[in-house]
Amino acid sequence: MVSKKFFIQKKLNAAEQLLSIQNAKCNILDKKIEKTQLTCLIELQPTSYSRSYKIKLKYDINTSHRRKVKVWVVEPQLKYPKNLMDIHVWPKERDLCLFYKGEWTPMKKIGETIIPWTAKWLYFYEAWEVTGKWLGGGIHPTPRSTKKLN
Amino acid sequence: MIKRDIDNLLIKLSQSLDISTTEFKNAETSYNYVGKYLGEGRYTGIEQDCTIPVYPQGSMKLGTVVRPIKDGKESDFDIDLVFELPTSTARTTPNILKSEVGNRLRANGRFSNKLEESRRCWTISYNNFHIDVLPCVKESEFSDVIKISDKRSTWKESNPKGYAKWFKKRSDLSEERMVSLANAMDSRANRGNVKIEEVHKFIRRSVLQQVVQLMKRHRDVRFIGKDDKPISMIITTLAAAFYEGELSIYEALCTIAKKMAKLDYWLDMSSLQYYKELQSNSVRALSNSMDENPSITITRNADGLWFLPNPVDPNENFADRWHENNNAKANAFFEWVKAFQIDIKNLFDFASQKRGLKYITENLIGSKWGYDASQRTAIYLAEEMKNTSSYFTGVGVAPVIGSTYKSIPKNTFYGE
Repeated sequence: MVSKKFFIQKKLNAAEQLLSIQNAKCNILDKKIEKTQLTCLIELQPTSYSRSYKIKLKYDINTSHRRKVKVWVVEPQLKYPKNLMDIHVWPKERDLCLFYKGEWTPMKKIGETIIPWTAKWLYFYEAWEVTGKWLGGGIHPTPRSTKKLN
Repeated sequence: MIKRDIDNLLIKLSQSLDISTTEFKNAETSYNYVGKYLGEGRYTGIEQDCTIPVYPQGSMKLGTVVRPIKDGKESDFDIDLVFELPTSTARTTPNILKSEVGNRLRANGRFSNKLEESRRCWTISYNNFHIDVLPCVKESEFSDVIKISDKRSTWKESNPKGYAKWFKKRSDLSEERMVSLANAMDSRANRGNVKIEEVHKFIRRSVLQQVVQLMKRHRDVRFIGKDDKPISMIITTLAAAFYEGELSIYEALCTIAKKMAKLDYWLDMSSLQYYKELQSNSVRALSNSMDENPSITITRNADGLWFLPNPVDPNENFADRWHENNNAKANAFFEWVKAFQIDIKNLFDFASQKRGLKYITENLIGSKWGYDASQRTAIYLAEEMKNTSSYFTGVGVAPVIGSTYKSIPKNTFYGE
């Protein structure tokens, strides 16, 4: 008996997001849930020969900030270009710019989106270290227009 | 995981040594033009409507082209164009053959200040490549063997078609077949009926082709400003002979380099036992070369002379100069092989130590295969990550093969 179920998409809470990260087989070094806020420390390594990186992630449905999720590279200390946006890092808090508008919402599982995107970001970061160019594409927000990079 | 990632890195490195599709297309256009133009010429003993075969040889034909290095910088690459006049050595001379082709080329204003004569060919220089036109005649109707004019005075035998067939057979041992995008351009000139064989464009190189590319460039870098550089024919022939069909470039490199390195026992001729072994081995080497499937390898005779027979011509010995200057070339070859083994091992070690791409490119790839190659390698790796599907392993990203894994959803790096 197959019944059609209609899933009403709802925003995932901290515990559900943590579960999605665990299900993605991430190496979680530390985790903490305080009220609606999830904070965790994850280890990522884009390829076998890449460095190993420690990533801090914060997720909170109730935060006043527009973006409910933020990711920082905690270890090792990254080298930054003069203009942080060249490698898609927010100058203010130095968290990573990982998605554009509707590509991610709190209804999507972090373990299937944010975390893999961070791994990709790290891959392009290492390529940037070698070539001086950001080769992962992306968009730079500018005051008047968004200039799409190929 | 490590071997898969190292293989991917090696693939990108070998691609970074290859000529680009644009460069290839330009070279192909010029190659076809030269072939057609030559075919329309008049030559002693050739009838007007004769089909004159034109075909490539060398690394272009084999698919092992590597951007050359001259004076420490990347420079022009070569295309060999074999121009096979349908006459025989009985009906022409090395001098007539060479000079008539030269005259034909000189008669074209396009080539007048770009033409140079070498020992066996005429070289036409273009912006970033050369075409080496090799005039020759066939030995017989029933074989691929050709006779080339050597210094305009003697005939030298060669068999580029036979060698290419042998190399392809070795290369096809791996299941990944070479995808040759052969232009179906079988153009015939209005007069002269030139039969031009397509210059095969290998977009996806086989494992063996990539092995040869990686070895040749490593050799090029190591011998900048040095003498006794091991010749490409020796590297290519040994690599092909020792290749067993491995699907992993890394495995193939390790195995082939190891087999090459083991041959250094021939350097030591001091004991009598060696002499006896050498005697029987050199006889075996000769008889092997007559077989259908000779075991191609390096041997030495009791006089200290070195042998690496051409797989398709046992009379040609690629190692005929190895004994000179107290075995200078032999020593240079084995030193190069040892260095190559060390560098491949370092690649594995650096990868295992999770040093990051920059460490590997700066401390290994750049210094051993060239700075430009290391930059392009990083670019190709990044382009692949950007343009192809990958899946998340829990720790990193790996390419999606088939539909087994769930692809990472698309994202755009953006701050808001």
